[in-house]
Amino acid sequence: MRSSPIPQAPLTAALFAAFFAAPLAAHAAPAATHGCHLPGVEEGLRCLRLPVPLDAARPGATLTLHVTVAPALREGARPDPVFVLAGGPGEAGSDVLPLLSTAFRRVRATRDIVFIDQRGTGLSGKLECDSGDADDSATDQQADAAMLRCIAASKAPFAAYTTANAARDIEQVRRALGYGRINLWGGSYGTRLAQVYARAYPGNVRALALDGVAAPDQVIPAGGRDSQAALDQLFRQCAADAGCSKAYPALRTEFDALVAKLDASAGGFKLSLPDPRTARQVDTTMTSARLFGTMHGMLYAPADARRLPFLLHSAAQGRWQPFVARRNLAADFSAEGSPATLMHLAVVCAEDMPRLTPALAASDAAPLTRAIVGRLPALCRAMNVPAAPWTEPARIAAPALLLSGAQDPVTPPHRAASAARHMAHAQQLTAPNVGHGVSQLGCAPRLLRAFFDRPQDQVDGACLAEIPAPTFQLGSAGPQP
Amino acid sequence: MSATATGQARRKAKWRIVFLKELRETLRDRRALSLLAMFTVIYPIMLGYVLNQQIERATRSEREGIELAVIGGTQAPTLMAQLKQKNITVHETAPMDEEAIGALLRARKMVALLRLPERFTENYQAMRPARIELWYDSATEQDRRRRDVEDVLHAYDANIASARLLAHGVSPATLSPIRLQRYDTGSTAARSAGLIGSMLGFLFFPAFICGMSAAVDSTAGERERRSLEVLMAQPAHAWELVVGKWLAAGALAAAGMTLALTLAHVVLSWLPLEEIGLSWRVGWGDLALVCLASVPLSLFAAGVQIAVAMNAKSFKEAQSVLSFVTLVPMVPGLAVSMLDLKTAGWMYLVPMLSNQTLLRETAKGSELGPLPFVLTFACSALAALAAVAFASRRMQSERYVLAV
Repeated sequence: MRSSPIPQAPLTAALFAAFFAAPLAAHAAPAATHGCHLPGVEEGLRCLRLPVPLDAARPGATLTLHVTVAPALREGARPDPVFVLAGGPGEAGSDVLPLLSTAFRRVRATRDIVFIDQRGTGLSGKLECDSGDADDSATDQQADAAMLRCIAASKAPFAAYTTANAARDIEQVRRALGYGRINLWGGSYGTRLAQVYARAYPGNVRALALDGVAAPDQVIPAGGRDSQAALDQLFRQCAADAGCSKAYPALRTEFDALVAKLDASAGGFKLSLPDPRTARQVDTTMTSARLFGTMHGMLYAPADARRLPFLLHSAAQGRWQPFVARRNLAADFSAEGSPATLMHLAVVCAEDMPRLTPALAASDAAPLTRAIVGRLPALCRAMNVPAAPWTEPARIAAPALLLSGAQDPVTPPHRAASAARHMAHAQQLTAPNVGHGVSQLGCAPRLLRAFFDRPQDQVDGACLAEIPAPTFQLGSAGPQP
Repeated sequence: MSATATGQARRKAKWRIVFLKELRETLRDRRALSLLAMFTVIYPIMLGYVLNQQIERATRSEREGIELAVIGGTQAPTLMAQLKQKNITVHETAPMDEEAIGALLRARKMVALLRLPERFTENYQAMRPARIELWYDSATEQDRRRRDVEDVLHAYDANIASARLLAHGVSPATLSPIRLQRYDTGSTAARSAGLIGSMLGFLFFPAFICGMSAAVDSTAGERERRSLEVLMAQPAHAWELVVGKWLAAGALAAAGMTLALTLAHVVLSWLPLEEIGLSWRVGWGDLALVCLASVPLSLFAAGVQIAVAMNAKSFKEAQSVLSFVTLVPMVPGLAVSMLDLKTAGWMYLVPMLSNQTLLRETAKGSELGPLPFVLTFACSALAALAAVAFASRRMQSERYVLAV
């Protein structure tokens, strides 16, 4: 007789297996990195401090790049990471870490995400002006003078902070981390950098996802027409919207009158009102440069843009507090992490201003960007960087996904179309109700995952149309419920 | 060849003969074996099933969308649009009473129900807090998806609040007097290993199950069938008999355990664990090392089982005592997880606990070094030898063999 003494173990095992929850996973990165925590992400990440030559032609001086690695959740599934290139120029990879949980939450399952702080930004020797407490009440002349003082005080070799050098830095990071071919994600100016890298190191690029695509021949300060188009579109949408047209029937007339009044009063209006943040009574000046600058910024995000009719209408009635509060918003929240102003100028003065011909400037002139373009020549003279030589863009062979927001005031879809002309395999997707930056919205994170998994396949971007248009703000109660 | 060498060869042959005989006999019983195989296979599969369910549930919302019932949603078109943007399907529903809402939620088709009272718009326009009711059934395990809905509500709330503050000429920064940045220093791999780790202990259980039948049968069983006397009459040392039987049981146990570990590895590597934020970072090389370090555990289990079975008065008694003894090795592991002890060096000195710890730390991706593997191997190996030595001494006593 043979019998099997099987005890009650399987039952216990079954009970045991029933407990489960789902937090996160990550793991060690390559040897050169160390563990680190950075604002915007709760979990621990891996960081790398990498010395790179300041100028490849003249070895000697170095600067230290900061790189953040978010290891893939699945070990070793895909050897090719996604390198994230932030915008600006002047924004750092470490500034956009929250993208990890939004735009890249699907991609990260199988791929490392690498955030590079481009030279001169973030933790890679940020070139900025220590403005102390951003002075919202200074006049334009005072602000310009402060900027010129800041440029003069800086000892940084501005000429080394070019897009080409930044692309070389990416290559150094790729080697240091031991990756083979890489994927690139660029946002806004980051799309320019990504294209420069893909042209300089074509063999090392597997795929490109570009969001808010800058055309290779795009001149950053020449954004007048595009921003004007976005503003006109907003006015048209308000007129077409029952609630908005009823609340602000004379919006465009009011706006024009406002502009005329500001232009007529030299130096702008003096306003005396409680500071939106501190509630202290302050005197401030409203100039047309400030009006247009704030409006230009608001057009980047449609939800923000659709507050604009309310703010303009209030201002036209003489109630400037809401507009001033919105204008100060960036400074109110930026206790830390403002963009690297000097680095921005270093790039724009060397690469864009030389290409801003009088003909282009004349054809592109529009009120929204007039002030920005007007200030640049003096600032660039102070920066004194050599013009970067222009080369005809080579064809990019790697598959590329180009994302555009139809209401984008700086990199609208026609810029992506221009960029696509220099690409062998480009897919252009447009989200109708989106402004500058698509990747974190709606189904875009899923599309990014699908694209990076199979870059050769067609991505079905129909779902981007489901991202709804925000509602207009019709009164103090906020947007329509 | 010298006389000693020939003697060694012959002696070696004897325990091998016993070993092969016992193994052959056990393998002959197909039914018992298939039962064992099932036990070995079933746990890894179950583990895979449970995890797969988790993954299914977590990614379902992405694929199918969350179903949300709404009463009075036309009053808040923006909110409805924001919900849809987050892949939440809104079902506008006629007004219903509490009981009907409860029944609707119990049916589990809807994650939750939002009810906007009739005065919602009025209060909203008057800039008084406008109430939105969120009805949910906590018994239906839809917490995660309900939180998705709540996140949308929070974002909606925050957006309106900042728009209203701006309208008053107040900076929305007022709403964030402090900005809390949470930093979690726990490595996420360690957390997921902690979760999966609690399930890993059972993968070593076959070490105690798969050899048990052979161990009991070849000792207490044979004695009851009176075939042990015949065996004892052979010109072999008692320890040769015991070692043969022990290795036969141990081999089965090791085979079962290795099968369970391999299968679990296949299942865990195949599952898209990353979709629920977990990871399984064990390679085939790591697994082979763990299996190798765990072989003595099987031998230890077999040794103890043989020793216990030999001391039992009858086959039946051996069976029932062993069912209990089998659970004893689980105690340290359970105690450690209940007391929430940190992994420490001494854990590698306790058989079974050492194996569990080893696998868990490997899964965490810790840099272990060779010592834990050696300790794990050695502690079970020593215990196994002690058990076999004890059993051999018992086998020498006539009282044991003839006691029936």
